[in-house]
Amino acid sequence: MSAPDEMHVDGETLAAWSEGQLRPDATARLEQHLSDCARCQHLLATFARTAPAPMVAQPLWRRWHLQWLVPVATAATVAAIWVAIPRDEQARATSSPVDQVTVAPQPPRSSEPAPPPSPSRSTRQEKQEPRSLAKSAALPSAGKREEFEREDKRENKQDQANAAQETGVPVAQTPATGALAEARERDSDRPPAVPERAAAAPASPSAAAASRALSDTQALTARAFAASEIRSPNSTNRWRIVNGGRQLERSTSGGSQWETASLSSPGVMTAGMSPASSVCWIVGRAGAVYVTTDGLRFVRVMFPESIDLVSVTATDDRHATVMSADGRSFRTEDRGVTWTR
Amino acid sequence: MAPSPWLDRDLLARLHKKARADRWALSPTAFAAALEASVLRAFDDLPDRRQLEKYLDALHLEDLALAWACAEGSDLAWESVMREHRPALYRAADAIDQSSGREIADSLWAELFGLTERGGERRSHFRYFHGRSSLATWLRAVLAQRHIDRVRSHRRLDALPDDESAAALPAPAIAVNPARMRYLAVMRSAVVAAVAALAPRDRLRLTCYYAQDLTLAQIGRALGEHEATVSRHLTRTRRAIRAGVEHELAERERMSEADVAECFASVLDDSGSLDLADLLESGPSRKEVGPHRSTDKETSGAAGG
Repeated sequence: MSAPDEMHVDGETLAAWSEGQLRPDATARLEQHLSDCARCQHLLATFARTAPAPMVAQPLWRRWHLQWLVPVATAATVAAIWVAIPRDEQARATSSPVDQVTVAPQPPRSSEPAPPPSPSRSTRQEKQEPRSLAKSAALPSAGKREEFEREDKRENKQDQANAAQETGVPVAQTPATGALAEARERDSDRPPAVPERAAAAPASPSAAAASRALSDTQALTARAFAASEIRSPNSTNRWRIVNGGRQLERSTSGGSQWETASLSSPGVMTAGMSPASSVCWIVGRAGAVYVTTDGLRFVRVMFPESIDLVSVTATDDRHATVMSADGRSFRTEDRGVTWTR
Repeated sequence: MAPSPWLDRDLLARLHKKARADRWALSPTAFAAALEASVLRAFDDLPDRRQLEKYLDALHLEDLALAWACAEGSDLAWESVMREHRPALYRAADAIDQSSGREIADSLWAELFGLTERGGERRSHFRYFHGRSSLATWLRAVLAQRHIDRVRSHRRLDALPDDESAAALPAPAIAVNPARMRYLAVMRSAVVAAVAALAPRDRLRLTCYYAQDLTLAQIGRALGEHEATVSRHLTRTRRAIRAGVEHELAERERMSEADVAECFASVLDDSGSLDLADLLESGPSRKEVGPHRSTDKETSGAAGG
């Protein structure tokens, strides 16, 4: 035999145990030993760290567990912005869960206009598709009238936005911050701790200013999303953030066909960068950082703060620097296991 | 190599087929040797026929055939391993240690190929794969073991670090009142007792989380549990420790409720002196663990539980 397993745990036994292939008596013996032996605990820890990226990672409660102090700091801002937003914005805000629900079952889009899509066209498409889905879903059920009304309300708002866009609102934002604003505007249940448009809308108590800023950003972000295609170095692999930052699509055909990428613990995405053909980093609101190494499955990595992130630059699948909405940058060299300021 | 008496022709043929061993032109005789080695590994005494078949059927037979075909020198099998497993092995090596990981992977790879000869015979390390896990998991585990062995042998060569018990450390730190020092000592022994009373698996989760600094997801994957389950167990375990400590203080130390509260308070005030990681782990990796993080968690866990 390769190693004395009564003394210490060897690799073969550890592998079998971890896949549940040991018989009960052997399992009990091994666990007893593991729980008392520092060497074997070290072995187990090393082994655990080599596990390939999981399909599911870091659900919400995990982050709260470690960062229970952070939300306290943001709570005040939440209240301030809530007050600042006029009533119809609040209605829109409450309708965001509907949005989420109706968007979810959307199938991957297979045919899309050739890149880069013209801004107004693609935004319309993206916005209309979920909406019509929502309608057809709502129709058979009488009890869903309320949702239906909210949908209508949002529809109006979006028409306004599109109109504003067609008249040509000056673009004064980076795609990332635009996306962020859109994201916040779409579900303002937990707005960012720091106002990202410090100059234009510094979370002022003036309701008028806030609403103006919001309608501006809505139009702007419509453009920003159309433009925010993330290209890998080989340019046939691309990603794009759609549905107001809630959904991510991937193309391996230079943008002629798109499929939905899977995200562990979805959040609202703002920007991304691809340093290699199948590696892509995505950042988003509330400290969301995702990375994929196969192009399609994005895994959420730990981020120390629940702060909105606006950009990311990456050199490979381990090294990346992200920028937060308040201008700080964080760097990781081990795919998000540790971050330094 | 005569087939074992328990491995009759029919059973062998069935398993050989199931393992698709023909792909690598692995002969039934060679495959029988693989199965035999696996059974010897898993059982001290030969089990009855039913149990045996159950065991054999639960094996990762395709991987077993692949590994042993490599050991037999099949180029096709070797190509497949190169394609399917080598990249993952090197990714795992990077995850273990950016600098020395590759070296370990290289040497493991050489052994798998059978470069190191023993007694003139090329012997591939793939013969130690028994199909009780997938080949990918086995490779990761063997790699981890190599790493640990290497770290420990280096450590033995280095001068021994002063690995004095952490109990000796708090004394010089602050010259506070003696009552408090006593509380800390009492608290420490109570926590040690409470941890020792846990079920092995609970203690293991606790160790993984607090001493080895694994994430819930990593623990979950290693233990074959969902990370939510791991979290739930950890919460329960923390509560059990808290209860155990309270019980210990009240029963054995005959402390009043106020004293017990004072005891907990003393730990909260002076977090440097009672580190769960230290308590859980007598071993040398303690230094890699940030004391603050684990004490914070320990105390918040105790307070919350």
